[in-house]
Amino acid sequence: MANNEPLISKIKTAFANKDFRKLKKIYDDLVNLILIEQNKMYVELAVVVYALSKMLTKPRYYKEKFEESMKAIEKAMEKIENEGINEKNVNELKETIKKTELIDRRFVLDMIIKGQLKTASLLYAKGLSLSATSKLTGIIKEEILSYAGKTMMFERIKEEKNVRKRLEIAKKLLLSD
Amino acid sequence: MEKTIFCDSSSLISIAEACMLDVFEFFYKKGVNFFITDLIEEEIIKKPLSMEMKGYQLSALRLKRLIEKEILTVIKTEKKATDELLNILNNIFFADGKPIKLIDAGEVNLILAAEELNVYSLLIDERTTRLLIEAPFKISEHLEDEIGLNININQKNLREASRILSKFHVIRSTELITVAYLDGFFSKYEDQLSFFEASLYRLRYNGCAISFDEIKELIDIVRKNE
Repeated sequence: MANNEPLISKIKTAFANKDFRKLKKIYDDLVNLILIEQNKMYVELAVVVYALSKMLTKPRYYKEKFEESMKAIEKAMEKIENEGINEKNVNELKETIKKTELIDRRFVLDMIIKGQLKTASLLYAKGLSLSATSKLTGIIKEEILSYAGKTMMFERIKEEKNVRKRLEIAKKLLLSD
Repeated sequence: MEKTIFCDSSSLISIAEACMLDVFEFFYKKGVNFFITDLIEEEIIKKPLSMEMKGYQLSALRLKRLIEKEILTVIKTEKKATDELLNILNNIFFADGKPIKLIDAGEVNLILAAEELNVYSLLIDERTTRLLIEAPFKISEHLEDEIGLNININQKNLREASRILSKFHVIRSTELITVAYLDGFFSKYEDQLSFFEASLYRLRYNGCAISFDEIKELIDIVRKNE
């Protein structure tokens, strides 16, 4: 995936500049790209970018106790920049982010897991079926549905068949003659 | 086959997570058959039960019990036929010259198994498959809005998909519960209308793809009938 190296450079620069808005934009573009390319490595990368952008919005990560870990994250990205995007390198970056969060853990779900859920839910909202989303992201259907049900994604498309018509079908199917 | 419904994993999950699986037994006793495919059994029972994360095991165990009680019937399916339809459905919408693979074997498998038994009634809470059956052009519009690219349609594949899919009728768990309410499912409660209304919201929050406006409309229809 050598042709993707500019992407990791963009991520690295945005993180070094503490530019969470830029990271958010990269994340949004990546999710659209995943919809078309259906590449699992892009999914992993999107999850990482989501986690990095979230970290930058939390003031605690700017404190001294995180300095070393934040540098380790930059180093892990440098490695990807030099060696290319592959499973091993992206996993190393994910582990470094997880370790950083553990220094001052606040939530049961870590940011990588939140990133996985968010990415799966977005792909489902954008139009992938539930099974396709689950297969591509590795997130189980129950988690995707639970997340999606609490968003406004179901308000975004007006159903072709109205409620009254669907209810009539259900009555015919289920009630005794 | 009279009064038989093929159930998708999305509906089984939202109904199970809303603790309303009794509704299947309620209709089963009135002569309605509920079928699932072996692939769906794998997804909603075997997978959650084998996972380290225990959060969804209770629903899986409850669903397993429905199979043991023969309220849900598992139908064995073939991979080859699934692949053929999957190929058609996943080569309808194109962006940047590439097909957008919207659907996976889980959904296609259900449609084929139902067709094989001449059953054209599906219970699906998931939005994409339902739209593909009822209004595929809406998927194209939605994708254009979401990705910001022109979506091209392979008309031949769309026609073939419509030929197969247009025979099907789809209901969601919310319609299932509404008919159950009309048929006395909540009659043990003094304030059954409140239980019914709360159930609709519970199903939505557990993933049933229904808008809040549609829920209000369903409640209005039921109230006006009383």
